Amino acid sequence: MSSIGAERTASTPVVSPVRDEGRTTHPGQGVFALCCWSLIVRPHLLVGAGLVGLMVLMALLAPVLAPSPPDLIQPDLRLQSPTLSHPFGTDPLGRDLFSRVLYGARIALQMSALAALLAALPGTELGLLAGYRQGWLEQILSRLMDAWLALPGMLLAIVLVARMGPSLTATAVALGIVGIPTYYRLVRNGTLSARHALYVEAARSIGASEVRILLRHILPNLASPIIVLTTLRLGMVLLAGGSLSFIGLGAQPPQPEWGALLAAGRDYMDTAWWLALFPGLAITAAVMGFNLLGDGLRDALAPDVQSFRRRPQPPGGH
Amino acid sequence: MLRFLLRRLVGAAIVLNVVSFLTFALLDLAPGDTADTLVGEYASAAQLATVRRELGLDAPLVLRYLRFTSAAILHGDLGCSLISGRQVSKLIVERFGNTVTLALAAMSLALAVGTLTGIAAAARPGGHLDLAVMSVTTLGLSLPTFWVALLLIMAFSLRLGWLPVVGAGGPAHLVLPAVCLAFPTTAVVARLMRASLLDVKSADYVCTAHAKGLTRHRVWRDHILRNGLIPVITLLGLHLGRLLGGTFIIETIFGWPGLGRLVVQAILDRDFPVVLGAVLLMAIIYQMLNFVVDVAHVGLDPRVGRGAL
Repeated sequence: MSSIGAERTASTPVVSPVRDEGRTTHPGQGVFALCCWSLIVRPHLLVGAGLVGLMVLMALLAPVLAPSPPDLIQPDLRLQSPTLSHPFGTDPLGRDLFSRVLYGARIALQMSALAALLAALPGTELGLLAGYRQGWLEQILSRLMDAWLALPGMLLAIVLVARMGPSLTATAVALGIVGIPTYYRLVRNGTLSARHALYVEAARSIGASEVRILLRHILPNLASPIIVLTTLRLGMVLLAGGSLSFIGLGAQPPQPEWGALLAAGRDYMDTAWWLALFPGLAITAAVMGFNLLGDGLRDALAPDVQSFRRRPQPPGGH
Repeated sequence: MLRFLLRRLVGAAIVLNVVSFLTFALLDLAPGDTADTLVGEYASAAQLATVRRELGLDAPLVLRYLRFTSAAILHGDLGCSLISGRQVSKLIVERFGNTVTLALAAMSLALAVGTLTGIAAAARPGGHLDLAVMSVTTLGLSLPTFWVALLLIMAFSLRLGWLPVVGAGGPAHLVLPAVCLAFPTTAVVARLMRASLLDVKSADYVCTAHAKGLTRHRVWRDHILRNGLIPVITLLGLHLGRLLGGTFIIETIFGWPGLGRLVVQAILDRDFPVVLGAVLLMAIIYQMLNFVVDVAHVGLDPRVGRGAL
């Protein structure tokens, strides 16, 4: 296995082929050293964190950075190509596209955060419960989650959006509900194996309550895979939410959601290329940020989290 | 082997029942049911109740579900569209072939391009080609397909004028939608093919094959590729779902008259019988394909079937 110095030599490709790269010998001890080490060795994490950080900054500073309010209609500035005062150009109503993309970062973050929360909270809770209690409760919950995963995610999301009626909130809620079984499986499997760990036995023997054991002992130990899964899901949700908005099932017209912006720019593609370019770049950068950050975190924190993602059992083997 | 297949078949049947019931329940409980739409906005509560009784909408959910499924299975009757009044089954039959064509084209494309680039990358890990493939696929997984679709339309249809913008017709209409639909799957297939080949390459039996003097070509063909393909086949099964999901987006962008576009339009029109029928069909197809993939998996890797006994 490689040390830091050997990392970039020809024998070790930058992107290691086999998934054992997380188990290389780490120089230094502790989480901090591990983080520093990972940042230097894997540009993944750095680039991902940079892109996500940029998106958060855009969302936070949108009112300061935006040249004009995102909904300000200026009929005399229709379909202007990018200039210094309008870096991304203007749309058919004369709204400044740069401002709209900036505010779009807010919508994207809110939507993906809501979806992640709606998946993580119930999934984690049920997973802890099922893994710790086992018995009939676990049986029922697990069968239910199996059926849940039997529909492709997008199909289920579409059914849920159809049920609730097209809107941004409906999209976020639908994408959240779709994600519950993924968290459930991750946490249930983790809890199952932690149940008999020494630290849990110790906690039990000094009389800690079940709730305390679950929340103060088992949950913190599952934190890193949960964080990794959440980061990766944020990117996925962003992509799916943008897609749904693009086809009209998510954000509705005046909202500057990136997918909706692209959909609106579609009709002007042959004359106003900027309308079809910049919102797409924003989505791509944000999704790539979350993906890289998630991959980097996985390598650094939880090398085996991949095995928990969607349908962990090989077909036939139960 | 037979027991394994039977068990999988029974499992798929159970899941199918649960899924169809849940879908029915979800869409059936949606605000604004058939009766609402039929009597219009200004009807009184009494009129509404009468219509509901006539249509059998006041019966309990389970009873209506049983009625719906028996009509669907016995007569192929899925109800009528609230908008056009046409039979849902007819609408679906019209669109079904188009979606199958699109999905098959995309799947073949993803499989061909994905495995070939994966093999090329794995032949020399760490080489320039490998780095290029890994970078492009990383980017590919983050690119929204609908944006790629827009860019391709801008380039090939509007600027160059080589391909039609939207609609269906000759093979030229199929090119852009198929490429866009295949896009994310290709990236995943390439990466997995590469990782799997690298795994297999270092296996003991490959070393043995080299040692006993087989040519490089034969080692690759009989040992590395055959075993390296197994995870890719499994993955393809899982990705059929993604492909089905992708048809909603791609068909809408390209105006491809398939099931996905039918569903999206029906959701926007709040035309629930159409959504229900089409979504159920998609769920059934997905289950069946998964079953087929599992069987293929057993064929490729005999250990799976035996292990399950």
